[in-house]
Amino acid sequence: MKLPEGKKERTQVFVAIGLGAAAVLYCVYLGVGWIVSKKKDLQAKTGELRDKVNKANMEIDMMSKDRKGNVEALRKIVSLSNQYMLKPRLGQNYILAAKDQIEGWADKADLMTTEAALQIQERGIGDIAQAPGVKTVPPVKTYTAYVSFSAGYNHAIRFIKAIEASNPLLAIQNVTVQSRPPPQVESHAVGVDIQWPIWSDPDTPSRLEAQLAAGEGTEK
Amino acid sequence: MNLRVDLILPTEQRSASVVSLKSLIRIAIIVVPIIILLAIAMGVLYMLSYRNDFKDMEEQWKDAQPKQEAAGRLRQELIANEDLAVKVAGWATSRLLWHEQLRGIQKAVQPEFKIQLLRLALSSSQFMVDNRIPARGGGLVVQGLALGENAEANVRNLQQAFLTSPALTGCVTQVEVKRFEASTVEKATKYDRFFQIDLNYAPRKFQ
Repeated sequence: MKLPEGKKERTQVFVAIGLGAAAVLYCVYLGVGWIVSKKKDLQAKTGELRDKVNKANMEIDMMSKDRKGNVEALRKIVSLSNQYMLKPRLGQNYILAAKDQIEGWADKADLMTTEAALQIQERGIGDIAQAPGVKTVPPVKTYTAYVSFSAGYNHAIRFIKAIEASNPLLAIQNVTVQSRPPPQVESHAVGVDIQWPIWSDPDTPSRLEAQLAAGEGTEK
Repeated sequence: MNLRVDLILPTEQRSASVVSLKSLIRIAIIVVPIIILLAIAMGVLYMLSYRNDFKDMEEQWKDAQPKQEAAGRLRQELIANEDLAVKVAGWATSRLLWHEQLRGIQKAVQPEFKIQLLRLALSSSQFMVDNRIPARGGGLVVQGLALGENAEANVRNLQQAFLTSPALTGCVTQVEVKRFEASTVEKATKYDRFFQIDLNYAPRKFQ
């Protein structure tokens, strides 16, 4: 291709070439800009995902340790529940279960006699102190039974010791030892409030055992 | 005399330079599009590479997300169960062995104090420590008669005995004589005194 001979035409051709080249360069500039911004966007998204994946992997790595810890916690709770928490008899009756235990301790302290006149009364179910503002039902409640009898100070101590030795979760809530006028000076009027922990929801033990079985199954 | 005759027409004139504008334009027409095409190709390749990285990461996230959710649920369960284990075991740590305390009271009442105990009443209750941790606390009220001329000294001795008793030390925070007055019991002498000593126990947390 030959350039036109006239100066004017030649100039027009050069201007046209210049404009074309500028247009092409501008398009290249826009294309590069688009690629750069797209690249930044993709890199940011990829980085964000990478952080999420890394965090997720760290949490996933902790699973076997958490599973082990969970099974240990469940074993502890189930063991304490089975051994020491008071379980109701039919119809949510706690006093029958409490009575059996109390009579066992009284027997150990020689209080199952006519002179001792042991009596057992139900005080009922109560709540454990909770932080203000907490609205969830506490999982554990208290069940209290009152025992009264006539005995010497040493007998009373033996009875309380038998209670405290039998169950580490039992708490003696109140005790009164009142002396009597002669001739009964050796026999005091004794009253004891015994407090057991109980589950707020009676289905909790079976739920925990199912959780433990599932946890132990996964552990194997 | 030299005569120079220019027989070349202006349109037939050529530059003597090796690099002419025309050749530059020809080179540019070939080289510039090649550079542009190369740049576009590289850009596309980079884009494909970044897109692949992103897709790869997306796949990893799709795989990890449900596992992470399961790990989160397990962690919540672990926290709840550990908290419950602490709450249940807290019953053991928060209680005081009252048979030891009653034995300690008994041992503290020395025969030479001429003290006759009338009533012992312990009461324990639950409350929150720092509005966070449930705890048990309590007190023991000892009422009795101090007999004879040294009644006041003997009650002070008893108070001191309570403070130094091995069974009570560490559990009792305060031993205070709350009442000390003339006895109203029948057959009481003018020296006999009714007294009341209150023992306060340190709170024991459920943890």
